[in-house]
Amino acid sequence: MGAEHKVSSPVKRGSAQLAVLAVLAEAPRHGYDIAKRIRQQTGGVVSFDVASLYPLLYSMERRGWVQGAWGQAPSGRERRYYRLTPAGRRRLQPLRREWRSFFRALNRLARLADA
Amino acid sequence: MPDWEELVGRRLGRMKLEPEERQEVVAEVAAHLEECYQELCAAGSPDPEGYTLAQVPDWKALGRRIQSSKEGPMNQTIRIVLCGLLAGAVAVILGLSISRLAGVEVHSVLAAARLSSALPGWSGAIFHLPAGILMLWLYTAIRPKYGPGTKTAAVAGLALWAITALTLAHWSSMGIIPRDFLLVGVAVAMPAWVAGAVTGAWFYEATERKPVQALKAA
Repeated sequence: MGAEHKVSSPVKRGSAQLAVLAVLAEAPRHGYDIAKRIRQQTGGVVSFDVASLYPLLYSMERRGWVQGAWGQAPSGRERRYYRLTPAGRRRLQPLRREWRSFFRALNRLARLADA
Repeated sequence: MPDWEELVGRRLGRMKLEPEERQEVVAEVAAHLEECYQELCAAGSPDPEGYTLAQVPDWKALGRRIQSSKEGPMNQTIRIVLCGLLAGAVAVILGLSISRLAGVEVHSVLAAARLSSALPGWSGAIFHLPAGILMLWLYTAIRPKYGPGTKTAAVAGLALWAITALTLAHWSSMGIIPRDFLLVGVAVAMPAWVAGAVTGAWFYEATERKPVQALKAA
């Protein structure tokens, strides 16, 4: 218990950051691809639209966690690809720990409620 | 198919970003919507455009959120306040220096007009500081239209000078300050406020936070 990390960041923002950083840890992607990958990976439970994705991406870019650069998509169209920076990778590790800890805590509560 | 870039550009029209940065955001959001639209069309959606546009229920709010994400809301406010204070300080120091060179003792004139009996001598200088913040805010408001730099800063400085001149003229018409002082005050305030605005705007631009440049090399 003592070794577990507290969930310090606001839940909603933290989960959105985790989702984006986690899919970018796999490979660089453009905005639409990021949203699509998150939807696929979570079975549609977590989804991002334009209004929620881009303010988050720009804010993460300003903080230096991701870096965007224009490049050509397989379709031949110019798209802005985001990739994780070393600072983003450092941010992702504690986020993952926080969320594991958070869900373990919720599971314990759920079991308590079932008992 | 709708012209997504035109549509997004029109709907995010009031977003206060640099033209290049704004264009980049518009292109990126438009590409996202276009891809979403094409995917919906391929899936046989009955209203692909409607479903695509439903992603953005409030374009003004999206513009504000993007702007704030790009600039950082606290960062922006702190920069306006600090650079505004600097602009006000430069204006008051320069104004007093020019007045002294012109042989006008501002405090003596105000004392003679019995204004300083109600307020301490330094109060006039203090009033310049919030005025400097107001001027810097004005600079940031007109910057997206006129572009960053000396010219836009000078316009903001001249706007504040016009307010100062009108206030002095009003006081003069009421007999609170002598007409000679009005003329000197109006003449001195112009270079002082323009120089203050240019200095404040220069620091504002110099302190702009861009994505960490070093990361580009990583």
